Amino acid sequence: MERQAFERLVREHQEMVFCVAYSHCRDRAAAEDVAQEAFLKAFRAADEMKEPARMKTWLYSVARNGAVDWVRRRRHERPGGVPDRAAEAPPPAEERAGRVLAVLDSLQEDHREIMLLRYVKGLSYAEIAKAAGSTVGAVGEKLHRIREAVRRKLRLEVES
Amino acid sequence: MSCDELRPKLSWYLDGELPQAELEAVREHLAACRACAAEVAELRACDEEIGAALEGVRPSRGFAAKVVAASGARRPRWVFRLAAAAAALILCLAGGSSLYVNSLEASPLQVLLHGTERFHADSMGALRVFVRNGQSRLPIASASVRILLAGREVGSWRTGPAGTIDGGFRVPDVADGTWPLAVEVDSPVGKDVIRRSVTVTREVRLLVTTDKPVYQPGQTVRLRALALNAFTLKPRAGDAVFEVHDSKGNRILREPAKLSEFGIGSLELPLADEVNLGTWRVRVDASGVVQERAIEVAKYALPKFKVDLELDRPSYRPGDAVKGTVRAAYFFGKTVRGRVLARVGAETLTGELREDGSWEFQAPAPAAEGLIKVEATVTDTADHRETKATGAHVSRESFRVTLYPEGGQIARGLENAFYLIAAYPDGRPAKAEIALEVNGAALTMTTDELGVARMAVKAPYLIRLDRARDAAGSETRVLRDLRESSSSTDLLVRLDKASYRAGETMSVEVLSTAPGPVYLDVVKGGQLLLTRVLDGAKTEIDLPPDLFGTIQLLAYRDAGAAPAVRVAHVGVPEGLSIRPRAAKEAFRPGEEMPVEFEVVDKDGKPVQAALGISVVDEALFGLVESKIASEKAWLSLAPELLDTRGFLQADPRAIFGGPNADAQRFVSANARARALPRLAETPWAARLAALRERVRSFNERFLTLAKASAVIVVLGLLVALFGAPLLDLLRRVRDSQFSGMLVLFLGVLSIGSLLIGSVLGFHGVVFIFSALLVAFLAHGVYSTGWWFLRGNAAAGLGSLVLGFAALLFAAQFTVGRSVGDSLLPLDAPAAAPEKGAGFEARMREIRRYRSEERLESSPRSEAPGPSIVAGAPRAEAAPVMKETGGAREPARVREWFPETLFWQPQLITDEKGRARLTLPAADSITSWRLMADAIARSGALGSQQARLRVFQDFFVDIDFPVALTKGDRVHVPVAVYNYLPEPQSVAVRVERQPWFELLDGERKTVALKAGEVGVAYFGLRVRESGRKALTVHAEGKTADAIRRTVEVFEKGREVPISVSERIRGRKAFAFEIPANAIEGASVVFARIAPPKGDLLEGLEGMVRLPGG
Repeated sequence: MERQAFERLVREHQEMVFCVAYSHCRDRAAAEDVAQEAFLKAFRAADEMKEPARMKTWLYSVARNGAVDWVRRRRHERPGGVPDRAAEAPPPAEERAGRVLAVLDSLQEDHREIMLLRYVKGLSYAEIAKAAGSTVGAVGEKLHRIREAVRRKLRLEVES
Repeated sequence: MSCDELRPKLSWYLDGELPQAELEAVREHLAACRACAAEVAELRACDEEIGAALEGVRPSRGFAAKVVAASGARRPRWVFRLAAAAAALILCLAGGSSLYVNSLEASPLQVLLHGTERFHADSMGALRVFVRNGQSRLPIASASVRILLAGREVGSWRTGPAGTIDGGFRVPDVADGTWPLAVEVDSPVGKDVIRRSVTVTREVRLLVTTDKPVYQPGQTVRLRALALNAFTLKPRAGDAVFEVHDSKGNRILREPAKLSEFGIGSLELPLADEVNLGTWRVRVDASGVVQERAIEVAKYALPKFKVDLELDRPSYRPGDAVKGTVRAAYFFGKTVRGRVLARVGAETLTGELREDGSWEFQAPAPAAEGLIKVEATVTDTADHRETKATGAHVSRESFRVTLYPEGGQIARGLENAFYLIAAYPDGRPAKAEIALEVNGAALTMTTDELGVARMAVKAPYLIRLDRARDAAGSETRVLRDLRESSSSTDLLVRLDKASYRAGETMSVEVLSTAPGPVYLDVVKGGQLLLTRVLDGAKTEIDLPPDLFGTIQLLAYRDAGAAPAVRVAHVGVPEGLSIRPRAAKEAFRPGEEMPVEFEVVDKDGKPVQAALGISVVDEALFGLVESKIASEKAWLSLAPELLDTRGFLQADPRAIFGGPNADAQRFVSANARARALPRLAETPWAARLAALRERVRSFNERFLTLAKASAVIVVLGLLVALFGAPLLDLLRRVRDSQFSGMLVLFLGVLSIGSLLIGSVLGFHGVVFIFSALLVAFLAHGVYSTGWWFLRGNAAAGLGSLVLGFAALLFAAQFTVGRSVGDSLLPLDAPAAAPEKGAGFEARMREIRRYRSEERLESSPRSEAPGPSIVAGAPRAEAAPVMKETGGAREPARVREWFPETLFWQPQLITDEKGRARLTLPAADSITSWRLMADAIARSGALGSQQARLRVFQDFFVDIDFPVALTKGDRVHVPVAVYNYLPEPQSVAVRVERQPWFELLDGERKTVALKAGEVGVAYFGLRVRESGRKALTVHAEGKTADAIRRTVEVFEKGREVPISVSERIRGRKAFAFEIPANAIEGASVVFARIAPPKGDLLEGLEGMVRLPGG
């Protein structure tokens, strides 16, 4: 894979890949490591990749696997000893942010992408539809469902 | 807008994506509906939450640059691609060359070349070429064979089912010497070229002839040499050296001569009056070939008539009646009248010759065994006397029986033909009844007129002679067995005849105890002429025109095995016919004798030729029974058979009709034949060994190199990966999608090729598999390089190491296995017997040739025999002198009596084969023997004798002795021949000369009847020495006169005085002549020899003289 192509790939997907990693690790440095490793894997496998269109999906799954591995390793390294940073009582803002991230993580692939494109990148519906290969109508529908899901989650939290 | 309509549009509203019209409607509804406004507020809060949650979830600045840097993608990658490709290429080349070298096979083609080393230029030749598979020893059919001699292609053939070629070729007409011979063979299993050198020669056969066999001092010796190519009998031009040595070994002459285009050279040597008498030797040397001929130098007087003495048998038993016939005739053709005295051993008989000049006698043979002399002396009416003697055996021994196996050899396990030959000791065939015991059974046979009986007996045999009895009742119990014990074969060559003429077809039957093809070679004079392969028992060989002489047929089954041999004789092809035509049947003395010659070939077509002509007095041949061997036989017979005259006859049984010595010689000739020498063969084993060695050393080097590079690569990789955790490495290898597949594939391939290769020994399959392996390996290396480039070095390492191992294994596996050990039956289809188109075509050609020949030969007419055509008027009658009174014309004195009337060593005819001569008839009344031989440029020979009669019906002759001595008183007989049809009275007169004085009258009268020969004696006293002439005149109804010379010796003792000194410039010699020397009798001879030659000549003379 050419250097330029690779750089473009990284710039395009860094936020989302980082997001995916971060949603598991809840550790910026670790999430960055995991994201980097995912990109390097993609770089190595790029030539053998049969459908470059699926690169995105592949990247996210590699990143999630890496993050899951990282979390698992961490747990083995400190079994029950040092409490997980996530397990400590976080400040309320962070807690609410965690809930949002959990929702994000639980979303379907396409929904998550649209969510990130809207909230992280601030793209218009038309831009999102073009980037995600969807229609403006579908983007609106999906965002509506995402908002409902987040509201439900946050409301559940409040009720509990 | 209702609340339900609004809800789905809330996201659009919140995100500001609603179009203006809808936006107004939504705003109106929200202003009116509190529930919806609350929901919008909740969603806005939720949005804020999401925004806040995702606000910090961004990679740090510079993350992208860091990742790109970590990927290492910044290095220029084509260098590594190039390196990988180069590595793959190197591996490909290395693997490919290893496989190629290991797949090399020594071709199993083996060519055996048998034949003779010596070829005669421009003659028929052949080579026995065996083409076979050196491993299986099976013949290879349909291989193309080209033979090049002296750089020229002499022919190309295809091998038959027996792996040999049939056919001869023409040896190029190149100069004598050593020339390269190349046999190129191109077969389905490979190509081969056999090279060696052979000798091309032109052997010369020289024929030296003289005009006559005996000379007198003062006469001229005329020599003629004819040089022919010994093999083709074509005339051979060049140089020759004539040498003549006298009876004491002194070299009288040494002179070079040029041989003409007809191979003829000649020389004349006048003999001095004083020479050493005895046997002289004439030597001719042409190209190192020396031919000698003896001539006699003697003093003699020619006989006047010829006496023949014939006995009825060559041998007698004691007490048998010896019967004989005496015939006497003058050389001019008339019969002799007179008395005969015959002696048979101790018996003496006398009688008168009958009218026809013959007389028969009978006397008992002596009781003692041995040789008896029979002698007849005839005295004619002119008191001239001639004697003839012959001999006969007297032997008590009865006939002999000889057992003779056909061809001289015994063939084991076959029916051999045997000839029983019954003959008397002198060689006469005996008609006899022979009782035999053959392998235990009794057998009785009767020999035919030729004394031959034939029987067939299966070998091994035991033949015992019980008894043989001839017609006269004599018996023998002795059986001579002519078998050559050393030469027994399991093949038998049988010919339809023993003697052929060139152009005929020879039918050859080869009897064999075992099946399979039999090779048949035709050899002449050490040169292979024809080769054949016999599938069946019989073959026919068309004898080409230039195949003649003694040929050997060799039959054998294996190359180099001792052959069965048969000798056959092929007569010289029909040569030239010379037709001499004299203008008249008889000539008169002094007349001119025109003679025409016409030379025609065997078909009667005129042909230009060189004639050698001599005309010699017939009386000379009466003096010396000249043995003139048949030139043709002499030229065509091999030395070992030169004397086997019987062999020349067409009937094979006639061979045994002659003396048994002939048969014995024939047997020896057969037994002498040996297998054709092997000229060359493919050095097959050596070639194989050399190739093996080459491959072995290649593999050795290759393996060393490969091992070294493997170690370097492995070490390099280990260093490169030093520190990487092994588990991680293995996991990564496992994760790699391609290395696993490749490793599996290579493994399967290696194992597959190993199994197939080792189980079947199928080199070709190994080769294909290995080639595939190398191809995949090369791809693997390329991919490995690629992986390595992208940081996944470990993934490639496995396949690289495995690949190397596989390659090493493949190389190791093929070493020493591929070369020459192939079981692939490459030549199997070729070995299958097939009668290809070439074979059939050849057979057709042969058949066509035969039919053409038959057509040609049928209208051939018999060439008319030579003759001397009589001139229209018979000129025999002498001009009758008219007695009409007056002066009679004195008769011409006849005084020229040469022995050789004419000699022409080379008379070349015109294009039409015609030549014309006018010979002056000498004064001799005799028959002249005209001997002509001819040679054409093609080498065809011919010879012819004719008679030229010189006669007149009345003549006188002086019958001088050889010599007279001074003071002798002699009565010289003068014979008077009257062949006039009437009686006459002849007056004979001697001319007075100072060298003698007449004792009685100078004139005598002789009365003669018609056809009578009378004599008148003149008494002389010789007064002077030297060569003296006597002239006699005779007058009857016609006249004749004759003058003859005689040598008169001094009466005294010869006192030789010799002085020899070196001379330079002038030199005076002083001789002291004894005081009592006879006046006028002293003679001085001077002989001057060159400085170096004289010593040699003297030595030669000394060595040759009796007692040195």
